[in-house]
Amino acid sequence: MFKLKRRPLGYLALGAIIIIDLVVFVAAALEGQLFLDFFTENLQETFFFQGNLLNGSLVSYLILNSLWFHIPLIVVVVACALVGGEGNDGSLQTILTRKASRGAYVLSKYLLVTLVSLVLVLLLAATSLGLSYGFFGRGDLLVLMETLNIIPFEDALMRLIGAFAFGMLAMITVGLMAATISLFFDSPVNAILVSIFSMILLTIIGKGMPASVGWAKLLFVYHLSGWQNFFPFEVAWSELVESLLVLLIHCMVFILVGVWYFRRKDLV
Amino acid sequence: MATDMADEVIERVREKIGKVKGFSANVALELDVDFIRMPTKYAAMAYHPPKEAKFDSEDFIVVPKRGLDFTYEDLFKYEYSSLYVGEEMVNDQKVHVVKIIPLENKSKVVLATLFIDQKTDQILRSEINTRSHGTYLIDMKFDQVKYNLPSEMVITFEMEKFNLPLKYLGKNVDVDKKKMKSEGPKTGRMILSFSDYKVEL
Repeated sequence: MFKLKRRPLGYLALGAIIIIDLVVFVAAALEGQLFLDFFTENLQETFFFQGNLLNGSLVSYLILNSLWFHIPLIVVVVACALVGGEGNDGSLQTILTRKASRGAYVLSKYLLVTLVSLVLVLLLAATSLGLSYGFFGRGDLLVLMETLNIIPFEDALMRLIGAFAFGMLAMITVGLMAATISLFFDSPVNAILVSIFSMILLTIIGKGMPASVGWAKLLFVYHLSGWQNFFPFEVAWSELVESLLVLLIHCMVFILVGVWYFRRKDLV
Repeated sequence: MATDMADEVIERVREKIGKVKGFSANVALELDVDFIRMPTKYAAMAYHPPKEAKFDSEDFIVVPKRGLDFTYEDLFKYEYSSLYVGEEMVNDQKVHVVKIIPLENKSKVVLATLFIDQKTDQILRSEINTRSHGTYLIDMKFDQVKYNLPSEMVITFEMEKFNLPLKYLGKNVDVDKKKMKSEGPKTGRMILSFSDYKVEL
């Protein structure tokens, strides 16, 4: 933790989250109404819409979409830097000559990565919900998910909170994967590249497989966007539980593989 | 003969409609369209013809553009021709069936068929063919016989195919694109349930 405080990387990651928020806010303020008109163009021939759909619920939902791509990248970079950095400059050998066991050391790294992933998503949630509702006001959420769903404000807020909570587990999984990969590399840069490449590869493999085969659903990348299951008109609880289980299992597997490997790793 | 009968029925209906100069009421709005899902919404409504109905709600609400002409202003505004078609049963009530054809091009309505309760002179059903907004059907239920103000109103309308912008759909969302493309115009319904009428005479 002390080391994290001293490194600028953590602050850069937090800054990146706030910038993502701000970019979405500006885009929503400038283009939000056009975006909504595009969605509802056909419907406006038949209906009058009364009320504000460009509101905090919609903007928070748009920010949630950054969980798909942007936040995993930040988590990968931070996790690899936290875990991989010490092998590079020899400080790892120094640490392990002291009292810490290899198992305890690597578990402490996983704990740190977990905490950092949590903080990143918490910050994203707090800033997006707080600022979105502060700037754009409260209102029903319009979501295009199988059908055009209009979710009342109170319900929408609970679903958004649920989605961010889900996002925490998803980002922890990404962080633990990156941390595990980092254990195999001395250079954090190599670990970052391999982690990102792995995610891209798994995503392509997952998309290439027909969902009916079921293999895609075993890949954790398939479930990173599982938070979307909060936004059909009826929350898709069974899919959510399935995604949570797959992610939890992957977290455990990453930790077990990391500990097993690190105990046997030749550090000399 | 058919025209005289039609005029007589229409005269009684217009007299009933004309009793009310305006009204306000609470309304529950329930949308029944297969590609839009929203819970029942509640609003306060005020209607003072010839102005359009106004809705006031803290919720986001969706209101149909057609079918809220409670005084049939658009239908009777211009000179029209009428025809008594016969009798039918609607919701177990015996009704007069009258067709009305506005004679001026300015009228938004091309043809209207009204199903009028023989006992109460209330319009239980209207089928309205418009010049530019297709056809829509209005079914009304009443819990009083004094005014032509419904307790429930079901507006059935045709909608153009809704083009879902697929690239904005969720990543894991399964959509039958072929089925969507093959589907033509859809029928939607809006159910309005009225309560707490305050009638201005």
